[in-house]
Amino acid sequence: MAIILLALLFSANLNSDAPPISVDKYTVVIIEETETRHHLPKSQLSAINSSVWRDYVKENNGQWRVLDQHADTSEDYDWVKQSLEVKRNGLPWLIFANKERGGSMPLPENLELLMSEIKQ
Amino acid sequence: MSFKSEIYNGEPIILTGKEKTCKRPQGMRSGLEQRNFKQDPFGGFAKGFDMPIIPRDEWGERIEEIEKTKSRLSDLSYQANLRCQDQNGTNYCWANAPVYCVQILRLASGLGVEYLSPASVAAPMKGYKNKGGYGTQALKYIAENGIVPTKHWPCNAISKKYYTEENLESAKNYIVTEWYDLAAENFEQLMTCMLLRIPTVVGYYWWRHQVSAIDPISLGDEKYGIRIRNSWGMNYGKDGYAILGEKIATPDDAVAPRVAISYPNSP
Repeated sequence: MAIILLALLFSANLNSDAPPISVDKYTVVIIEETETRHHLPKSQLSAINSSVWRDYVKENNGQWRVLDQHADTSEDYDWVKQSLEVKRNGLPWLIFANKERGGSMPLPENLELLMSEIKQ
Repeated sequence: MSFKSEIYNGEPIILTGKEKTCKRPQGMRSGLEQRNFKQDPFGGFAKGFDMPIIPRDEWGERIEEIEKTKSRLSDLSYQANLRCQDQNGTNYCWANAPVYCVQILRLASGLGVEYLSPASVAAPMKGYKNKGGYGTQALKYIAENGIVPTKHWPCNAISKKYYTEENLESAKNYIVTEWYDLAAENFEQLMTCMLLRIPTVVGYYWWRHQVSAIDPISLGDEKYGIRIRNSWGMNYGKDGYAILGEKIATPDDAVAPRVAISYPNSP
């Protein structure tokens, strides 16, 4: 139990750590592989595609991308290019940041969990 | 009781193809030609659809989840006020449909609304003639050359004066890099794309028309269909949207663009 609590605390600290990408405003990025979308649980697929979190980012004057891992970003902004370079352990992957802090983690399994992560 | 999709207020449901909403607007000729399988064999230029089919007994539940989470492509389109295409007397439905799919792919990626010119695809392909074609043909061109934004090439302008070096260069930012070729007359493949939110260019010989398939639809009692967005302007159906029942929604020509170049809106 203590180990689980420590792990949770540790992961919470990671989430509020330094921003994984350099941005001047609130930013959310999801990286996925569109060719393997059929492997994802339906709730996670809905999280990727939902207009709910996009609305939230927009209301907070933020910016966002949903990127295929093979997307050509050579002409896109630096923060987009940086997102694809962030170390990840799998896909789909979530990155969120503002000027001061951010997080980088596997994409939560559903929209509710995604919202609670990006609202931090 | 099986789930029934939300239908937008005033959105027509087309089940037989004989409904008034299928009638071509005045002055509009048919634009879809039969796919030339010698020139464009299945899985030729595009990767053949090779994903596992999502079983029919999961469709209702998945569609309910999609609507509950507002994760339909039409939700994104309404959120950003993305207008539908208006081919306005041209025979270029077959280019309007893939161009709309690219616009919605970009929107779903966070690149915003950038209107792109179907005429910049169709006119050079057809020697600047107002002629028919098919979606696979248009997507092949888009994958090789891209699409010129309407700010540089008006959407229905069939004129060589826009075929400039600058415009050809700007088109390259709107190239599609990954896509699927769907088998003809295969509703299961189309529905799998819809459930995975992959917009699909669908051609119907019964209608002699090509449109964009956007959302999966449950009509209740284990009956299914798709939401399309037409290219007959915002006054068609509900903001360009209509529902096609399975029987007539099964496409004769279908390609599904999946990934486009991530290029922010042009200045």
